[in-house]
Amino acid sequence: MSIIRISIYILLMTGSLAIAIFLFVSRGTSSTVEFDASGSDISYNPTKSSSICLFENNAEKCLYLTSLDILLRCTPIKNVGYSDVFDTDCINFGLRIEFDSNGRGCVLFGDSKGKCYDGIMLPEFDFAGKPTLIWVKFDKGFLSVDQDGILAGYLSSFREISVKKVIVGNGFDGSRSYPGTIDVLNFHIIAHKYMPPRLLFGKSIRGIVSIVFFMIHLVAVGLLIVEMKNRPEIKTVE
Amino acid sequence: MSRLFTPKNLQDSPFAVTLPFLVGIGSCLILSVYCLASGIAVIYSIPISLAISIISFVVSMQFGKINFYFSVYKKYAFEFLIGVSLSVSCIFFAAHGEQQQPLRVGIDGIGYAITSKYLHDGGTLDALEKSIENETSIHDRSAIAQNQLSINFNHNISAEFLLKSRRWYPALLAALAQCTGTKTVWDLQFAVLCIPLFGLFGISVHLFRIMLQINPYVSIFASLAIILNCNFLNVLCEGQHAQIFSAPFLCVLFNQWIVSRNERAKFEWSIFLDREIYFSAFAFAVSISAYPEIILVATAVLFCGKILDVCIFLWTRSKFPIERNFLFAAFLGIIIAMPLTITLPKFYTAQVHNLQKEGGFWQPQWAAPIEIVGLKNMYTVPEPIYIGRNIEDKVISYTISIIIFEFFIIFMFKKNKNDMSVFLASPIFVILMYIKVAIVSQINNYEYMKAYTILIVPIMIAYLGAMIAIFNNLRLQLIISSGLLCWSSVVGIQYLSDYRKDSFRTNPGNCQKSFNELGVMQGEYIWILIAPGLSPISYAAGINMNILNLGWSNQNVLPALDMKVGFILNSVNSGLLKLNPEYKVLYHDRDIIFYSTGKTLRKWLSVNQIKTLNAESVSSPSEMTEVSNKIYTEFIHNVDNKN
Repeated sequence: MSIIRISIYILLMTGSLAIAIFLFVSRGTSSTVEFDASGSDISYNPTKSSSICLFENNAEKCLYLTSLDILLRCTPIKNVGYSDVFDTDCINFGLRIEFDSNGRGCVLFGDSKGKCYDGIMLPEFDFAGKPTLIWVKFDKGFLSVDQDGILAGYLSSFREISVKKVIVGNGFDGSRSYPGTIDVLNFHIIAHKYMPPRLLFGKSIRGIVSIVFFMIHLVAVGLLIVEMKNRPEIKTVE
Repeated sequence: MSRLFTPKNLQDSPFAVTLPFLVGIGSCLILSVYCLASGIAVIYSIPISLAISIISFVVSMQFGKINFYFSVYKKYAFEFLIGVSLSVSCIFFAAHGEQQQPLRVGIDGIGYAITSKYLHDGGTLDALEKSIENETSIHDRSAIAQNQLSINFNHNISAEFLLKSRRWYPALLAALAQCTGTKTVWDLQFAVLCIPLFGLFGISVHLFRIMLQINPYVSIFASLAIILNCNFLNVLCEGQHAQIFSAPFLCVLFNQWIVSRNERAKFEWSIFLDREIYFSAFAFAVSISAYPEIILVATAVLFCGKILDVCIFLWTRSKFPIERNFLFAAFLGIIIAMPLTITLPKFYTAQVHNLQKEGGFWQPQWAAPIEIVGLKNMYTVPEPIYIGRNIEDKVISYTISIIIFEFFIIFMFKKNKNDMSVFLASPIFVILMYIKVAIVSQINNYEYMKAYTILIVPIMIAYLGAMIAIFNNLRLQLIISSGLLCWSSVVGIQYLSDYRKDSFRTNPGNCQKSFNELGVMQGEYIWILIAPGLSPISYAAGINMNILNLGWSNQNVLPALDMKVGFILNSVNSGLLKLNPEYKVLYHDRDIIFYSTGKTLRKWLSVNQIKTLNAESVSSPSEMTEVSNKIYTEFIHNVDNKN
């Protein structure tokens, strides 16, 4: 019976801690920010403006990307030099996709301090003056980039991607400008603010339940120690 | 020789069966270091080592101690068999059953092979400095050690290991390669690591038995779990050979530290005849010669241990351990490795300064205890990127990690207070390293990974002690410990299997052979890389590579003006390009093609461009890019025109 009790205590100890952590790390929905510009006619023309801002966050100190869906129709001029079709900021505060003159693209992630930490190289795009559809999707830690309906590159990352603003058009300086046209066919972004459950003031039921389960876990650990102390001790082999 | 050295505490231990191998390879390294420092070819370390071994053998015979090993091997035959099979199978399986280093993300394996080849071909430290000085027109020795100045890729890498990092482990590889007649070192260097793996297995079995007093078979399981720990295997497979080589010697030092804690407080002159001291000094000298950084970690752990000792002394007023013999042995170790250690103060100053800078590359996670002890493999993505955790991963990892932590706290309360600092020092150092890297410096998690992989044995001892401490029943202890350790080993085997699938093989030896048959001289060509990834660089382990478009700053193109221009292409790309038939194929395999254009760099450039190069002794990065781009564009243009 003792072995059964020990097994129950171990299960209780592990299960209650797992539930407590699940409740603690899963986020609330109150801090989600959603923006949808699908269907609106947004186009970038270098002769009219330097860039267009699709999304900007000034209210929160830091927002993290939950999901992103952007469909662009790019019509660049061939051999234009280094070009940024899709840029979040002069410093990389989120996701940035760049294309060089050879059509090679890369997707770069930045953190909340603007430091680029990660990226994937995409195969060569053929920008021979013809319109090209670029579809960027990010959901559940999986980023993919399609070109004309064909998967061009993907990256699986569960790291939090901060997103401050999303700009399409002129790159971050004159030497890397984009002198073509871009039509934004679809733009949908969901971002969230990272907020652990508020534990101290009991404003969050989730936080209280998390603490309760953690207490159950501690009790189970205590019961296991007591159970082991009550068992006759058998010395280990030297 | 090992018999003469072996301290009393290790004589009747499973570690004794691995000692002859470790002492042999360790003494060979120290002799290679002396040869390297004095400018003698490293091959001479082998006959000197053999002579010392023969003299030691005769002396052992004289004292009638030679039968000792027969009795030890007889007693620990099972451990010996398991240790040898495990270390050989790990290497054999990871290397695709060939005598080669697999490649995936890490480039250190290539670096060790390049550096060893340089020494193997008769290179010396002075010659290396002079070559770089000639190639760069820079006369500052510290600037030469910083590498990336010469256009010769091999010289840059050799300078990185020999002059900057001061890791002289390649000297041993070069000596062994010369001794065995291997030409590239590439074929040999991964196989050599069987010996330190075997040694690590032996010392782990010994440490588990003396520190936890566990069942002998569980100690074997635990040592298996250390060798098959996926973080440790990742260090091995990603080419960090100096760390693997020095791992058993660091564990020996850890063992000697524990032994020296019980020494008598009163000083006696007889300690100078104590084998413990000379053996510790030897282990210290080998560790510092192979991997100087390891001594920084050892010192930091010792420091953590002493602070804990002070706290425990203030708490319990019990005996304060003074590791006088151990410290004396460390001093003696510094003297033994004097040719290297006199150059280290400057290196250590630079290393401590560099701790604030980002080095290495991202590991997929900030490893939680569950990953550190090998219960979970975090290297599922064959890329040097940080992945982060999804919600399921967070719940599983944090739950198990918190339970491990809680059990460790319980273990510490149960433990004799005098021993607490030995168990606590390494985990505390790893926690401090995490705080330093993640919170203070906010750099990538490479240094953190280094901390827990270097201290894998003390951490695993603390972990296993924690997991069985709560159960005072032998049967439960056996079930829990064997279950956890078997699971870690299964995860490690799975890691090896995944690594086999992800890694690729290159063959610098075949490339060198092909060049020799065609009469291509080493250093005759300047190469332009048109093949992305690690594969072109790995061929530098077999041939001398002057690379024009490596992208490093301030490389001097001038000495390469009369070199022939060659292209290194990905085999797939070359099929698409329809290459000019005038361009001669020097070597090709399934990954790569080496083309010769037949023209010198001078002929590819215009007079004005050469004048610009002459105007400044060292070309700027933009000029170099311009030159390589021009050649690349003309190359493609020629290809288009002629096909």
